[in-house]
Amino acid sequence: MNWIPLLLLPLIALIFLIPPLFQKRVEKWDVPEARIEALEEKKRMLVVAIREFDFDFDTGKLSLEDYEEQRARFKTELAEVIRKLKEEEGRVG
Amino acid sequence: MLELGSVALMTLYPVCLFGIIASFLGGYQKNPRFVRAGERAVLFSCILVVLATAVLSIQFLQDDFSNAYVASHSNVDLHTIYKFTALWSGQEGSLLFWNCLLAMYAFAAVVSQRNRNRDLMPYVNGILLVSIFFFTTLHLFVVNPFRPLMLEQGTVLSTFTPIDGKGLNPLLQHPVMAIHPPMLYLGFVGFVVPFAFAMAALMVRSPGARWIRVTRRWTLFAWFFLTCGILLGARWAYVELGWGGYWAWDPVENASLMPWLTGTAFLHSVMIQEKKGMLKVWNVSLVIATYFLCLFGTFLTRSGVVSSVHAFAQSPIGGYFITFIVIGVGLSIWLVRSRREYLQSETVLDSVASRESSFLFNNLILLAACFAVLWGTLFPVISEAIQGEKISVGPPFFNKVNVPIGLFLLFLTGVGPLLAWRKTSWSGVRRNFTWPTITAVVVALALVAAGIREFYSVVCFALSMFVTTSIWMEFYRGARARMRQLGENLLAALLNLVGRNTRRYGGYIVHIGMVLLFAGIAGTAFNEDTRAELQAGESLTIGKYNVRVNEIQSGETPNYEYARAEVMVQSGDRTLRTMYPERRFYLASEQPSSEVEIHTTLREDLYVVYASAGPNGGAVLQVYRNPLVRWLWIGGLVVAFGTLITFLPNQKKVLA
Amino acid sequence: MARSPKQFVFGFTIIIAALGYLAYAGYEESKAYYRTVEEVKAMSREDIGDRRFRVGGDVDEGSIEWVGEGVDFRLLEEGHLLTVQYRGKDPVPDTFRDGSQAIVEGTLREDGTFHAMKIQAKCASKYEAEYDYENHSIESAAVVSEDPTY
Repeated sequence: MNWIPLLLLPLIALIFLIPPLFQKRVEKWDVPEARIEALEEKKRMLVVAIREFDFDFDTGKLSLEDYEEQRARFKTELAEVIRKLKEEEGRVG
Repeated sequence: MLELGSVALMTLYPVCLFGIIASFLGGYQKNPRFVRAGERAVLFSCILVVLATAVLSIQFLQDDFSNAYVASHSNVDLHTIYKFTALWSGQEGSLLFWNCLLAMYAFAAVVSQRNRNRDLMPYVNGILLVSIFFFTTLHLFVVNPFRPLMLEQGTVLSTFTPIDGKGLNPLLQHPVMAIHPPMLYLGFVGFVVPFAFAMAALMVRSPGARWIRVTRRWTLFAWFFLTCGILLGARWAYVELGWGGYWAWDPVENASLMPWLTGTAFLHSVMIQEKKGMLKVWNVSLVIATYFLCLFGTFLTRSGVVSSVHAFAQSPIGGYFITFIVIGVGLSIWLVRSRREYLQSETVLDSVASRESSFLFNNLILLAACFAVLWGTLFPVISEAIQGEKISVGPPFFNKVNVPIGLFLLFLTGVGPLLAWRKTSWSGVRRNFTWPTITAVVVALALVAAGIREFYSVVCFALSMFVTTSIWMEFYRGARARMRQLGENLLAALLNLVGRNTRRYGGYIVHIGMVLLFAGIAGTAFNEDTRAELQAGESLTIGKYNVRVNEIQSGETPNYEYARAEVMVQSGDRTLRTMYPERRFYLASEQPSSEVEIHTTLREDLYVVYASAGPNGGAVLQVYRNPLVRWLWIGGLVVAFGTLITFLPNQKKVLA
Repeated sequence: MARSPKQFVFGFTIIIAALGYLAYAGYEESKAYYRTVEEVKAMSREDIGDRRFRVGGDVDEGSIEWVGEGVDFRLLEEGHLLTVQYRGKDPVPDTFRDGSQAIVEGTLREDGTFHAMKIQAKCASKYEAEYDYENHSIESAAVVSEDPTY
């Protein structure tokens, strides 16, 4: 078989791979700031936890004392995280 | 054709190398030019591997026996479907197929994520390309799927195209074998994506569970196919191998079970990280373990290192795999250690009676099972290294350890959902455990009263009831809460309940499937079998069945010679059906093969094998009565269905 | 898992200990020693005891004799022959035939015959035993061209 047409494949590879190395367009990296990301993460975690916790109570899986005691704890934690998040955002932005 | 495949693989090699360098450099320097070039390298490698795989498939379909691999795994008369599946019937082709799936996953990951997780993607691309690079190395230097068939005449070697090939192993000429390997491979390969994201997250010091959220569906996807693949493998063994069972703790089976165990542990433990910010090191370790166990599984399956009497004598790929795995695991552990300050827990465990603690136990026990299976599988190798004496362990070892583990897992499946996060008080325990416990005890007593004395089976059925009740309660209470608060009717409440939290309720459906599966496995304790040489007109009895040989026949087709018995199965006075258990001898591959006949009901399977022609001219029949086997397959379907539910996005609140 | 409650450590220890014990029991019940045919033949009575052995080799051409409830054959490894009687519960695998590679597991009788309880024969898909990877192509061609139908 003739090998010359087969050289096409490496050629296409070059044509496809090389241009991005010389692209003019400047792209911005929107990398999340680590401490803010961590706090956002924690906030999301607590919000989901509280929602599930309420649901557990609605379906009768928790007694009233358990529910009230734990929910108060979740709430204080969430308030704390939101406060810190505001602080950080103020510092960065 | 052959050359096109070769050139595609040869082009792939530098493309991968280029992509690896561009990706890591681009990530390190935060240089979008390099990163974009790296992305293109991933996309183009996928195109190249798919091209190479397509070439091999076309060679199979066109009976192009100039390719040595095609010549030794196919023949002209083979059914078209099996010509296609012959692609992965041998080492060269299956590794190419693996690489093809890997590249397709990489392609999908790049296309779907490249503009969303810009910080992680360069490293993800780099890691994916390293994997592709490894398999490409194997293709090019060790097990080339595009090798021309050569003929040796004296000292002269020349290319040679035979008129017909050696044919496909008849055991592989079965519909299940057409879908089992692709599914298993989709599962094995799929864990590369969560692995790559986990490593990338470590490299860029990304805190939290972002990599877990991004890869959640990928993980589930891989787990889904791995589960289906394992069950189809069991199904194939059951209907095709003719020894009356579906699981033999064979190294090849163990190889697929191990990543399943760690993968299942991973699916559960990520929830703790997402909900509580705990177990970060643990989750990363699990995903590393799962990925490398997948590779290790391929290595076990393909190198025959354990089943062989002479270790490492069979295939040169073993050394490559071991090297890759050792280096990969070493680098991963190093990475985890160097980033340990980012992996500290944000909270601590509050109580033993909590959902997260049940997950912890679940993880521990799954890992123990995985470790036991690994240890047992590798025991000949380990014992030789330590004692200088090669010793193997058999099914009793695996069963003794894994049966209690399985039952404990089943127990946790029932207990977990009943416990609340963080802490469950004593009154909470009483409130939730009363009904499941009562139903479980009732089942246990009923079974004992019915005369069943197998301890593990009684426990298994009682626990199955426990889990079923607890899951049923979950659905019922959830639906009732919706009906009360929102005035929905029962059906709407149930549907909305599942739709609002597909992950939780899909998971419960998976658990129901597992219960059915366990029930099917527990049936094994009551298996019966018998063997006899029967002349035409004679019969044997097993359970309630009467198995009568009407006639012994023999003959041949172009593909094979056969001997078979016409067997009539009766239960009491009722004739259930006529069976034709058969033993074939395939002419092209010179291989014998049994065609099993199975009469299956929800209660039990009657499994008839034509074992051999007897010394007195009769047919030697081996007959098994296997209770509850069908529940295993039904359970598998339910598991698959439940997993599909967890893929669905959650409905928004607006609909309520 | 820093500061994990004592109950966990306690629970985990119990579980691991129990599993360890079961593993050991299972090991004692099912362990089988790998031996070559030559080693099996050279062993003394005390060495043998009632230990289980695992022996591999080729099924000697023409030695297979089917009897009602099993099969008798000779296992050939590096010029040494071992007489094997298989009377196990499971049917003989499809891949078992003249010349195929087989692994048997069982005990050795006083008269020197091997009483096999398990038998495995290598099937091409999972083990690919007959491949010669170094000279793959040459060997395949040799096999193909030997056959008179080509």
